[in-house]
Amino acid sequence: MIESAPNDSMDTHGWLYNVLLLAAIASNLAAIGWLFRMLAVHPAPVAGRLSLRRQALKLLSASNRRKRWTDAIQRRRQRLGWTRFVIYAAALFVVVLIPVDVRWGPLDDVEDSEEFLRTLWQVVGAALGVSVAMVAFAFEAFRGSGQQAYGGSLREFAGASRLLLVIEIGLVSLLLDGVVLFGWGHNAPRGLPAAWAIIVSGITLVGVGYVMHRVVRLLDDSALRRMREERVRRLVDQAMTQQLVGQAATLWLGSSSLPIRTSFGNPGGATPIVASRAGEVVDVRLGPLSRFAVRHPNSQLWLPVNLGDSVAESGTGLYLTGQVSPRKRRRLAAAVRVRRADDESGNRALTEALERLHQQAMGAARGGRENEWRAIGQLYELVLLALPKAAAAWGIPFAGAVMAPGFFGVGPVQRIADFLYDELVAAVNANSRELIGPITYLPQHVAIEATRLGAPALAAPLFQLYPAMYALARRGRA
Amino acid sequence: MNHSEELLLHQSVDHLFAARWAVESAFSGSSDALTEDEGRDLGFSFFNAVNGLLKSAIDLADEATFATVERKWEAMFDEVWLPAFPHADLAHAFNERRGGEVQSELLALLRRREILRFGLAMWVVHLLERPQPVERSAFLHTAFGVLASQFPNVEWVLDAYDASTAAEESDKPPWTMWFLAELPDEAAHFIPTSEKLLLTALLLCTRLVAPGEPSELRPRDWFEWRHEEIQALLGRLVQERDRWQPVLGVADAFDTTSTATPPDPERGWSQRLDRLATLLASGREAQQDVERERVRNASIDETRLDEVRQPALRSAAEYRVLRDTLALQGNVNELREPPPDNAGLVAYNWAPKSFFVSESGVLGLDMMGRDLARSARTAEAQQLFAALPDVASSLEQGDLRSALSKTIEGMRTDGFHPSLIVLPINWQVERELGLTAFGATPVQHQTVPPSHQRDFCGIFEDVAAIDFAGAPDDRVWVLDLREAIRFDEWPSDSDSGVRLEFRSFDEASAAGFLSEHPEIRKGRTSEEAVRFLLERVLITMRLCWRITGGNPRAARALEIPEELRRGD
Repeated sequence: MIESAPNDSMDTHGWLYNVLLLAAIASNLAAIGWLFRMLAVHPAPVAGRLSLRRQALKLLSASNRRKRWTDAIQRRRQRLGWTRFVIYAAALFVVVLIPVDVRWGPLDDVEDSEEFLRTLWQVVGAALGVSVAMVAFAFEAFRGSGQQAYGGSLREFAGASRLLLVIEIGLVSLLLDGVVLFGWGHNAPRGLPAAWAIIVSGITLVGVGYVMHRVVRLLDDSALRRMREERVRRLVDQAMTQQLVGQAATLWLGSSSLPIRTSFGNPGGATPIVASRAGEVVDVRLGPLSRFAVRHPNSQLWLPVNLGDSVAESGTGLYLTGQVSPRKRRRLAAAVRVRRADDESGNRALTEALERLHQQAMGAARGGRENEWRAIGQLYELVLLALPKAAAAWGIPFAGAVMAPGFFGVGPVQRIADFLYDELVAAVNANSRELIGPITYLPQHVAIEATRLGAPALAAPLFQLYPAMYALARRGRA
Repeated sequence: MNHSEELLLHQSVDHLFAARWAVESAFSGSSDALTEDEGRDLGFSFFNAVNGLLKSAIDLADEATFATVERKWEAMFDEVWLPAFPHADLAHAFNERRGGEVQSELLALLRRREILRFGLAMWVVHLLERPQPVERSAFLHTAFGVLASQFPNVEWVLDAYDASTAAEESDKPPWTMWFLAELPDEAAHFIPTSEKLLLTALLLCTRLVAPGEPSELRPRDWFEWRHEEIQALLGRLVQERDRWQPVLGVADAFDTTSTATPPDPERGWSQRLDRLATLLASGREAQQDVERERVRNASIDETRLDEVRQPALRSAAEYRVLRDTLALQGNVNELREPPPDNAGLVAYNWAPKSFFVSESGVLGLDMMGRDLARSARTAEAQQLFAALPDVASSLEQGDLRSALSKTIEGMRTDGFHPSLIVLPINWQVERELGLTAFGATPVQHQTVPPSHQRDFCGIFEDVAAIDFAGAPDDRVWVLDLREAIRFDEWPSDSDSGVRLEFRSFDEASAAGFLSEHPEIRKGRTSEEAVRFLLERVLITMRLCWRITGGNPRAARALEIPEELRRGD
């Protein structure tokens, strides 16, 4: 025994040594393999997706890192959707499992506690019913107020009034009462589970009162206007972020050494690769694409879409010269990440909102409804002045390609300028004198305000409306 | 025109000019106004819109709107007193309302207005170059008069022209688009902005010149480089008096002290243009003086000297066909320094100093370098023929070909090794001797340097033949190079066979050089001679080799028959 001890120790050390040696050899082999692969696929990355969106955001965050993080959090919160409700409902239910005993009042006795919860359950149920009825009433009132057409939506109204939140809490409260009465939880239906169910029910009842008060306040004109303005600012902010990310992506891709080129259409002789679905391009995984390009030197990949672009059904996501198998084509197509278009965010939403406003403004111009046009004019102003602020949030001045994006240099500013001119033409054609003053006043007013905000570049396209207005006025004399 | 259009006509102007107050207040010192930077930026956009509106009014011949807008525009910043064109460095400009100097941002804005106005004047001139209906023509005359009245003197006009041409390159005023809008799509066009701006400047100057006013013009670089264009335009104005004299409103006598009655418009017009031409000529001379002064004071840019030096040395090295042939045969005598009895062949060249100053825009210095090296090449042939005995055997019988064969054979019999036949450039002789390379095909032989294979004409009786420009056209030489001549060589720049020196002068060194070389004064005063030197660079090229004669029997010449000589 005494002699065998050192042998055991030597055996143990020998085993450990072998393991360490094998690990060292394996890691060296892995490192060498990595190195060879790196050389083989240069300039593509060895592994990973290499998200174009992330690279663009990194480029942008050089000017504002905080903005990048707050945007990322907000985006993830929005993507959670129903999962958010499930998460906090689960958190509320977990409380009943905490092994803590509460012996206060009726909570000390099973029967008293059951009796109290049964009554509370009915009260909460009734209150919830009232809330649902109130939703219908409030939505109808909101719709009737005519403000929806000015840019507000029911979802937004529900969010601002906290109606949905209270209904969600009410549902959890009813379920929680049922679970506790059923006897689930530590010491249920008495003790902490009963106390917790009573607290959540109490929050629901208070919440119903708060929401009623808030709905009434929100149906007020000024509150609706604030809500609408808030929505416009949010839309502009999202649209600007999307635009800047797209522009940064183009810049980054142009300056990178990856073997992927960008094109406006078919570069000639290339085969189109259909995008995985119709919608909006949210990201491009450059890692797989560039590795493919390196491995197939006789093929050339062309990227005809940018982040934020819309892709139609059976639209092209990539162009490729050379032949590849259908499986590889599908994998290449999958590298261009397309999400079903979301009408509530981004450039598309802003463009559509502006189009709606323009349609309504055209009606107002033709009908000589000055007040209606003035309200829309205020929204135009709001959008125009929110754009430089949104760009400034990224630390980027609102000028040049940021103000006039894309190949044709058309962004929200140019759209609104065109809309104003069209509305002026409509007013002149309809001989709506009341509209001439407000429309001709707006461009110079916004130009001055934009200059105050540090965006003098915005003044140029707006001032340029005046020679066109003059020519329009002279048309009648021609 | 309905009521809305009538209203729009006024409000498009009134509401545009509502922004005027925001722009002006930025420079008033008011605390709640825009900052000066903001005022300048807003003002630029505002002025561009006013400019667009005025251009539209010109196109539509809308005199009322043109007058209203121009009047309102003119009224902006009327409290600012400018002693001259609002350059960025203008001193003594005064803001009467605010008191004190005018801010640089405001000067930039006022400068922009001048530029845009000049562009509008150019546009009116452009329209007037075409036949116009009477009413429209009358409006254009009025519009030009209104715009021209904003330019108080000739220097102001020329400054505005300078600023406009600079803006055309940097700020992108809308003039190109104005011209493009007139032209058909899907075709290539020449946009004449530059020429029209110059014509406008000349017209505005023609309007403003007077017998004694101005007495002279400030020098401007374009007086020199656009001289021919200016002359052509002035000539055109002389011929187009009927068109332009009414536009400028200068039908009266040019010299008001003249007693001639009634005034002769034609004579007045030509006097006016003569006066302008004289002024521009004086301005051009002043510019040339400025340029010369600048060159005299400028230091030499070594990189530009290298642009001459390197091609010269490279070419000199490449041209050394005789030296390389001798080197191949081991007949170059390398010395550490020039032999004491060497007279030294030196080539002097005077080059303008302006070629070698850093601001110089002269291109093609490499060609200059190659030209310098060419004299080294001719020197090689000249020295060779000077070193050879001046005797030639006449052909007693037979033809040149057989005589040459005999001569070579005879030299070999006498113990010589004929290694080079030297011919004049004469294709008949070459054809007679069966030399068919003519520089088109390379000649390969053990005595021919690989880098010069195309310089040789061919091989005759196992002897390489070469022709030289400048060789006597009446004889053919057969040489044993090892014996016939001696080639001494000493260190040179980059082994090129030459040393290059560039010498520029300051006042003291120029005076010293003049005392050493009084021949430079020839026909010049002392001051002129010094200026001559200060404006030039002396390029000295020294040959770092020499060819002297050797054994006269190792060089034999044959006369070329009369019928084969060049020119026969």
